[in-house]
Amino acid sequence: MKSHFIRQMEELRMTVLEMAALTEKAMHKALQAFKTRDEELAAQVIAEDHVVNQLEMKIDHLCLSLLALEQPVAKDLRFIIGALRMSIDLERIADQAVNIAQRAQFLAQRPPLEFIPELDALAETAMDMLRVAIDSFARQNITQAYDVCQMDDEADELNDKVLRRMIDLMVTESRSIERAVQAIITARCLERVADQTTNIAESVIFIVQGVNIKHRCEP
Amino acid sequence: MKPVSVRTRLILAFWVVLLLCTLAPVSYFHRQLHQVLVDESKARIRHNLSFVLWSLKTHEPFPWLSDLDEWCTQVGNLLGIRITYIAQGGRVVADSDVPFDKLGFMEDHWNRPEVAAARREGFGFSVRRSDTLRKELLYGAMPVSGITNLPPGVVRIAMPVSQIKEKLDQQRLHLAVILGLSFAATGILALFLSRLMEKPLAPILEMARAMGRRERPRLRPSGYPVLDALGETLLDVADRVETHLKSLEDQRAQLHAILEGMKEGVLLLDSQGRIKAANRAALQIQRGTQSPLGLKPLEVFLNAELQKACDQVLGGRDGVHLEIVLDPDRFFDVHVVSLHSPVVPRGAVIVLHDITELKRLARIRRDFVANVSHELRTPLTAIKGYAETLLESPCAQDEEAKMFIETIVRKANHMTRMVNDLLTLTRLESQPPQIPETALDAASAIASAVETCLPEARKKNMDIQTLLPDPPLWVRAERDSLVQVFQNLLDNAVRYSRPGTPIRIRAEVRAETVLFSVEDEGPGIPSEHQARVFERFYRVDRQRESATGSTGLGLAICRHIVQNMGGRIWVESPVRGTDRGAAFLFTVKRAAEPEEKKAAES
Repeated sequence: MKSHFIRQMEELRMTVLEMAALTEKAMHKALQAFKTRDEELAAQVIAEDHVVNQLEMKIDHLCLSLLALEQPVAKDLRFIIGALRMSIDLERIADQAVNIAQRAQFLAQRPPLEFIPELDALAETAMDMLRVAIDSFARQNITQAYDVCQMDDEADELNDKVLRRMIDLMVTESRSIERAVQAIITARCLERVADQTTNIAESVIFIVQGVNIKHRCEP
Repeated sequence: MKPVSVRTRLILAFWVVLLLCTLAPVSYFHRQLHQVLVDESKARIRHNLSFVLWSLKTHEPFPWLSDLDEWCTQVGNLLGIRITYIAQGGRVVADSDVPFDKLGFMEDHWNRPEVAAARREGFGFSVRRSDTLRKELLYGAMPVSGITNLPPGVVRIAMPVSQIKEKLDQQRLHLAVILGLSFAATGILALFLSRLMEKPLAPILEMARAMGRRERPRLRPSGYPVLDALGETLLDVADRVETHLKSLEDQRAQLHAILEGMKEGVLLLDSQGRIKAANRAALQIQRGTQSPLGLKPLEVFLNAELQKACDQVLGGRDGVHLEIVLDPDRFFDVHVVSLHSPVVPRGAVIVLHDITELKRLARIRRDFVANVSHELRTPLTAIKGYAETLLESPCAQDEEAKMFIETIVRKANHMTRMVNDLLTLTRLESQPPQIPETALDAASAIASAVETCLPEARKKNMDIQTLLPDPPLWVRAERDSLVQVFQNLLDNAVRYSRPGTPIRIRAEVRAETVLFSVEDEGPGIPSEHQARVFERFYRVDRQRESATGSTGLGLAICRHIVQNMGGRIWVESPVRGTDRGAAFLFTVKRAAEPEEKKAAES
């Protein structure tokens, strides 16, 4: 028979994973809606956001009761702290997904903007980072977590490129300003997602190795 | 505890028997003999004591106590006994075995058992070991008084237990020696016997060991028929076990090959919900490349719905069927089935079937049909419009031309219907099944459908009978969809039945659903077609159909609508209880009576 503590830790782990899975799905759907101009899918993302919020509250509650009642030490303690941090990051990523879905809804009602390869690449990068970060947590894989940290620079660079291209577009064609601004906001959201994903990877490294690599990106 | 070997048990058993057989009778006889000896000694001592007392009384008075001591010594020597005179209070005044001057050092004798008994009963007797002489002695004592010059007291005599008794004691030693020897002898005998018993068993043992190593055992005759038979049985058992093992291994290998060769991913969960086994396809579906064994599905596939399904099945449900999207954009048809057998604790099997390609093809087909229908609609409208205009114009004066134009209009109308049906069908297919929450009175939908179909029916002199139960039939359905289902079924019934026959609509309220049926008295549908009539463009009789003006899509639309509302549709032909006609039956989920209606009624 497993002890109460072990069962609660297991539940915490499963809840974080569930939240991660749902967040990833929301991001995926939001980007899909953005690319295919699917208003219905975007609405779905916005409607489903509350599930992730509820899971965040559940994780908060679990972590608090574990900390208060069990006095965990070493890796267990790091896991609880890491889970708390991750839940915050995941919830914000889900919010960014809602943000992107709202941009998608708006843009779907306007004529399509010209194809922005950098935005596409940024979406791809952010999604990849999120996926790898979640995998690194699921399998407690440090190497993958470090990979995520390295990818963040790429996301920042792509964000800059989108911004520059949109400014160029707005200068030449004033009719598309409104849509270009929406595209910039979307890129900004994606850049934030990349940042928060990096935080998740850092949390994973903190849980497994017990070292804090914030703002350094190396052990 | 270490088990006791056969040899030790045998020796112990032998010894126990030996002990029982020798000790019991010997100790019995020994005891008997001892009793006889004691009784005899008791009588002897009484005689001796009486004699001593008599002599003492008849002896001339002793001037000094030393004389008494002297006398005691002489008489004692003559009789071969020890005589002690104990004065009242316990002081020894004379003793045949102790010099007179040492008497003062002797301890108080007043409470010796025999002396005490003598004082109480007139004669005391006891058998004790004398500390001074270091051998067992018989003591007898009698009270004495009234002798001149002598204080009243007790006379005690002591004599050794008879020679036979000593002999008897010696015998004990001999008995012990003999017993020891026989113990050794039986031990050796038992050892020998056990060896003798074990020796023929050795080949059997060797056979069993060979079986354990999965080698084929060799039978060596032991010379004992029973053991040889046992050996042969063992050989037989070994053969059979080997065959079973081989077939089991074969089956295992086959199963393994099947599982590994399967395109579907298969995972086995233990009762804790952790992955116990996974085939190659499953490994390719999972995220990452590490082994998924020992993990939960959520950790491996990062899909919350799949985990929920697994939890449900492990929690007691028999099976769950769901569709999930795994990264990147791969669709899987998932069956989670509960696994319980008396041998294995509860678990679950997950089967993941990749339906991405199917989905893609279905979407392509749907898009194609939708696009084509849209593209057809525009020219059709033009054809119809122009043909109708022509019909009104002078060109149609000619009978032949008029007939041609009418045919164009009729066919264009038919084609428009077909395109519309196709579009409806495409729309229904792309919609996810969703059971409406709103409650609807089915009677109103039926009335509306009947109203639409009645003109056609009247033309064929047919009657549509609506046989509904009294209370309103509240169902969970969209009004337009339900009307369309009834309309399509009624259209078919009117189209295929002979003129003059009735059509009946019935309804039956069940536990969770309402069952509707549309019955006609037409030619019916042969059983081989019944399962396929709901397919699009499927026709029972190709020759006849083309003339009826049907699009061939009506029933397909019905099926989609009913399924999307969570119901089921099927056909029974002939109609139950009769020998002709066809009945189309379908179920719709029941709904509770809406609150506002209730309020209005009350």
